[in-house]
Amino acid sequence: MRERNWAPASIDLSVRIYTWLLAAYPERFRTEYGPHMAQVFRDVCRRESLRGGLPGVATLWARTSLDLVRTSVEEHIDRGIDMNRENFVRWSGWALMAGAVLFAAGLIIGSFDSNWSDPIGGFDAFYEVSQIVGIVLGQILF
Amino acid sequence: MLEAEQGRESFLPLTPAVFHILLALADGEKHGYVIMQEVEEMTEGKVQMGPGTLYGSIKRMLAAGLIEESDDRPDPTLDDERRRYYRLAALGRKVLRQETERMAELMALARRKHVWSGVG
Repeated sequence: MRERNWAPASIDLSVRIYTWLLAAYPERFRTEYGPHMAQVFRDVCRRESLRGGLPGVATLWARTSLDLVRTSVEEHIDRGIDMNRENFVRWSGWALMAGAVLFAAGLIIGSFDSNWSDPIGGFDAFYEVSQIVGIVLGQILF
Repeated sequence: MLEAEQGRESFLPLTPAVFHILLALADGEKHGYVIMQEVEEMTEGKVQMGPGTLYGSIKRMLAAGLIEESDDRPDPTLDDERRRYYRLAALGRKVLRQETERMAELMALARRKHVWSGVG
């Protein structure tokens, strides 16, 4: 079992990072389900670590990251339905400004990025990271 | 009676996540991780839900009255008492039955249309 010495540490670190990333969800959802999501993630992490070792945990992270981005956006949209007029106007303004900044940043990065036409491309990753940062910032601001 | 029937049909077709969660709960109450494991086993790994999909679906299913939280807490010596257990509500069972009937009708239609003939 010597080769598995890294496992508990990698599981603890993964759970700590995942718990931190839960900030991407709306506060109400996070308060209600966050601890249970972290517990389920810990259980799956343990299982994948036993089954597939470090590559198994890495694959789990790839899957979980996509799930986190998609469902956090869904939960924010869900919450948006209950938004009052004042909040809607305020959110629209911020969203418009954030969109303009990201669009400009995309153009600037595109003009310097020599791999612009590369299918692996850095822009997709930039876009996804911007989305997560935007959601987290939105949580802090509002 | 007809209104209730129409109300149930408004849930159909179910999303894959909701359908599989209802199916996992069909034979008894379970907590999140066991639901996730059972869905993976039932589908031979084809459906793998992340925690966000699982609890997002659970939230909506609770609000719609398809499932309910179980008040019975397990023996703390056997399981973590902080876990939440879920079970099918009466409406959830009816909706699950209607969805499987809808699927069976589709299968029958596909058979009549010889969809599988000549497919190796």
